[in-house]
Amino acid sequence: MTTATTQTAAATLRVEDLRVQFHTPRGVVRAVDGVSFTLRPGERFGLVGESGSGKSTIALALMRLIKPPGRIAGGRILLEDEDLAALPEDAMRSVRMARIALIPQGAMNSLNPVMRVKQQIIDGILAHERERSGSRNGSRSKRDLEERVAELLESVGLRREVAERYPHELSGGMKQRVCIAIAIALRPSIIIADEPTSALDVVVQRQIMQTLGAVQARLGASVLLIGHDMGLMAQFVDRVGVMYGGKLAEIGPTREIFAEPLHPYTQMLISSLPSFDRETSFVKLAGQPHSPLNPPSGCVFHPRCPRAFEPCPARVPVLREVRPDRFVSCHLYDGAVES
Amino acid sequence: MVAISQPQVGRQTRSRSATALRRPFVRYAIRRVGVFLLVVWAAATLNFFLPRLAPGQDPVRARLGTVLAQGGSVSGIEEMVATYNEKFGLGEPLWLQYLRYLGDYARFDFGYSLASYPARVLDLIGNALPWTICLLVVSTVIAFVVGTLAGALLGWTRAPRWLGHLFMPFLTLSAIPYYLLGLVLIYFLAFRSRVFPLSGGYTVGTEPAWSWEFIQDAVTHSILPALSIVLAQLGFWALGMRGMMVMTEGEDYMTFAEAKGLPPRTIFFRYAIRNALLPQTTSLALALGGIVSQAVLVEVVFGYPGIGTLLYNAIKGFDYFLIYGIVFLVIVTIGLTTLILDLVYPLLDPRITYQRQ
Amino acid sequence: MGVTTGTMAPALRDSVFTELRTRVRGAGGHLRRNPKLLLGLVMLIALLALGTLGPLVIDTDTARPMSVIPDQPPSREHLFGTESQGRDMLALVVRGIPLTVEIGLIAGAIGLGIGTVLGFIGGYTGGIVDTIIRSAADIMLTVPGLLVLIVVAASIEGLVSVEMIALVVASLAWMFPTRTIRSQVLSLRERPYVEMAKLNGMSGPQIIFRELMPNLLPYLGASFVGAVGSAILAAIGLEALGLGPQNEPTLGMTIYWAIFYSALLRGLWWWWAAPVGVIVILFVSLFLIAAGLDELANPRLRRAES
Ligand SMILES: Nc1ncnc2c1ncn2[C@@H]1O[C@H](COP(=O)(O)OP(=O)(O)O)[C@@H](O)[C@H]1O
Ligand code: SF4
Ligand SMILES: [Mg+2]
Repeated sequence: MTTATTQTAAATLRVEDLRVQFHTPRGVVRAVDGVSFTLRPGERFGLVGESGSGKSTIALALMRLIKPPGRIAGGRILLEDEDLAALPEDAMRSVRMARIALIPQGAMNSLNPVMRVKQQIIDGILAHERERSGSRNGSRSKRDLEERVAELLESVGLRREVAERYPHELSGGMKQRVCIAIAIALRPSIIIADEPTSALDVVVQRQIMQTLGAVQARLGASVLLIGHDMGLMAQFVDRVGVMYGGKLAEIGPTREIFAEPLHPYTQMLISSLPSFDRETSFVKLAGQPHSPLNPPSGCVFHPRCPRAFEPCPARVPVLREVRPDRFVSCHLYDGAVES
Repeated sequence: MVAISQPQVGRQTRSRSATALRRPFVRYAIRRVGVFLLVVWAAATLNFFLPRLAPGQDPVRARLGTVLAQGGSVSGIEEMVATYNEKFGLGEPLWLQYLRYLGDYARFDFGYSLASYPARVLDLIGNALPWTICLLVVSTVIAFVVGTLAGALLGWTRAPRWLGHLFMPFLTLSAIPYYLLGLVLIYFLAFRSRVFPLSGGYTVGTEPAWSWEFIQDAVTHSILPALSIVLAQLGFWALGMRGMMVMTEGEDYMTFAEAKGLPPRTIFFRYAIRNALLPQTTSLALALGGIVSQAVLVEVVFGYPGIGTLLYNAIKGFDYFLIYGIVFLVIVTIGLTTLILDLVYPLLDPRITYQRQ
Repeated sequence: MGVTTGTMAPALRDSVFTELRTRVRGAGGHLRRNPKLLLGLVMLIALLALGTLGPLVIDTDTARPMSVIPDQPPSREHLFGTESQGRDMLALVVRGIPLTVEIGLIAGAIGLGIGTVLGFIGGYTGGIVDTIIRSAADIMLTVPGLLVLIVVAASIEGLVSVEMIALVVASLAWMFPTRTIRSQVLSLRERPYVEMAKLNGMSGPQIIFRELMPNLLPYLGASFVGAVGSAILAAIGLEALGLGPQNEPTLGMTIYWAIFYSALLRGLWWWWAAPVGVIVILFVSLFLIAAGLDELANPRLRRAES
């Protein structure tokens, strides 16, 4: 906890001890279990981890979109010192898209199949501008809006005619670009992209990432990029957080983490990375992740950890800053903390 | 044929300018009308050959024989036998009979009623049809609108909990055949408390007319049958819609709509209902097409002067020409509603294209 | 079970019993979490008990015409009253339940059987065979079933038997199962374990029976309940129009005679109330069972409700 606040003073978003639980008939799943990190202004921050480690749940929690049987069970989400976790739903609604935008996982199906692209951009814009100006009609004319839609589309590398299309008339990459256009429409200070390139082929993946980088640079927004592709992460983000079993195992600058991973799980991830001549770099590790219903005691990673020792099954390690800007949650570094 | 088999989810990336869209539509419409005519022709042909395939004598002649044997009290029955013999007589080759028959059916000339000669089948149908259409179309549409809205709310996780408890009994009602529901309604609301008339479409002794009194009378008579249809159908529409809403709520575009900060009202109507409604529309078209056959039991129970009662009496009286006429009409109705559905559906769901494959 | 357990080795027997006990307890857990299924089963079992055990308790001979004094309201002697032909209503209902259920079971089983075979063939083989099966089912679905049944039933010459009605109804009971099962097979066919089975050299039928069937059991169960329900519905509809077995007191025929003799207008409410009540209980129980099975097979619906 204390570590989270020491990360840095200047933060666009500060997540403190976030907990999300799903109350299923077979028990409580702690999908996100005490996660803390910060997003600095204009930085690209990546979250990696195996499928099921809680990445998407964090993204949805930041947007306050966790649905029953899930709920945010604790923690704070500080956006410029305003706690989103405590915000009334109405106020939260005006934060979405305007201040934090989400490019959802599975962008292939993220557009309403029966609405034209244009309408799906405009309805988001209008929902916020109406609220702000208080008037129903808004001040802008239809022509202005359409021009704005066209500019948005062009800024993500699409032709303006795409505005008149229906989603099924677009390719996967085009749909993803439309999602990006919607996400940047209101110039948010944070863009969350949840595996934006999964289900796309490699060439398109690269193009999409370039587009995302370009619009981010132009807006000066912070990006939270979620993915399980370490290789893609390495090319794109400034800092990474490594997730395991609903917890952050390690946070640090991308270069340093790749050069010298500290947490045993991160070490496994990095060493399992294929050499550059191979095609894919998806995370696949020996051993099975635990059942989310009954996590192991102590360090959740200990059943799979090659370096586990006595305290591991007994005590839960805490995320600490063991070197400047390097945060690790592992008993191996218990002594390394300069207090 | 028809809507359910038709939809091709197009994945083409081609541009669809206005003209490019219009030409395939014309081609599609022509082909679709062709299919409709084909179905109608097949139905008529079936109507022609089925009685002739019957082992031994064809049932119509057998029936005529029975009527005659019973004393032939119906006046003009000999004349009718003559007409019948002329039309279906052994004298002519089959193909000639068939062509003549097709010509008659094309003009909706179904011949005379056997049971109430010399009434023409078409006139009997013409008198009964408006009653059925008014009663069943109105009550089906009411049930559809109310049930679909209820189902949409039931499937909407943000709707208040008490709605579910309110609607559950209605859903259970849908398990009961509506003519039985009708029986119960008649007993309590017409026989015991005499709020509504017991049966019929209008007060016995009055003549159907376009007067205010008569319309009022007819409406009073139709409330109970309509109520039983609406009550029994509500659950069907509500359950179907609830299932679709639950499916729709799990879609990625719903999450994205919320992530855009849209107000719940917009998400409910423009995203959830708009998508969940598509399969319901198909069901509505099928239900409207099948109205005549749905009508039979409820009309019989309520003594309502529509097609259902007509068909029922035709069956009881072995009035084959009337039966065939009604069956043909029903098939035409169904063909017509599915035709309309297929032409209109691409407007509702842009993913369905007019092109085939 | 009693005979075979005697010859079993004790250890084996113990393990079988433990297995059975956990199975039963598992099923009990399902039922407790699924009140709809439980209530539906209780209602259905009560009805079937009335139909099967009833003849042991009461004299079903009074279901024949002119065996009791006609038109009597319910009394201690005639619990459900008597009707105008001099038949005891309770005896009629007790005789009618098994007949009506029999029609439903025969027609439902035939419908589901044909539907399963066609669905598997279409879904598994694909291609032109699938196209033909799918189109046939779709076209038949748009044809108004009751109307066809009416015409067919009306053209049966002579006396109609319970089995004939069942066959008539079954002729239109296969399309829905065909469609559901076909689409399920289609989606299952793509699953990785079916691919695995193919790679392991399993033959088509082996894959169908070892891999696909077990996964489809919930759907088959739900389809069967649905098919039986719609078969009974159609049969009662035909009977209420007087097109059923004239010599058998099925529930629908009893309603037909009640309408025929204007029981409603003569105030003989018990005449129609008894069969209508039994039919309502039957349909509501089938509805609840189908809804319960649906929730088992499709947990997302569960969430929408509670
Ligand atoms: N609706 C839900 N109901 C129950 N458990 C859920 C639900 N959504 C997510 N979870 C659980 O939360 C955990 C994290 O899921 P998720 O955030 O989607 O992981 P990731 O995005 O890293 O693949 C999983 O173990 C999953 O079981
Ligand atoms: S705390 Fe122990 S088990 Fe967990 S990662 Fe560190 S060494 Fe391994
Ligand atoms: Mg995810």
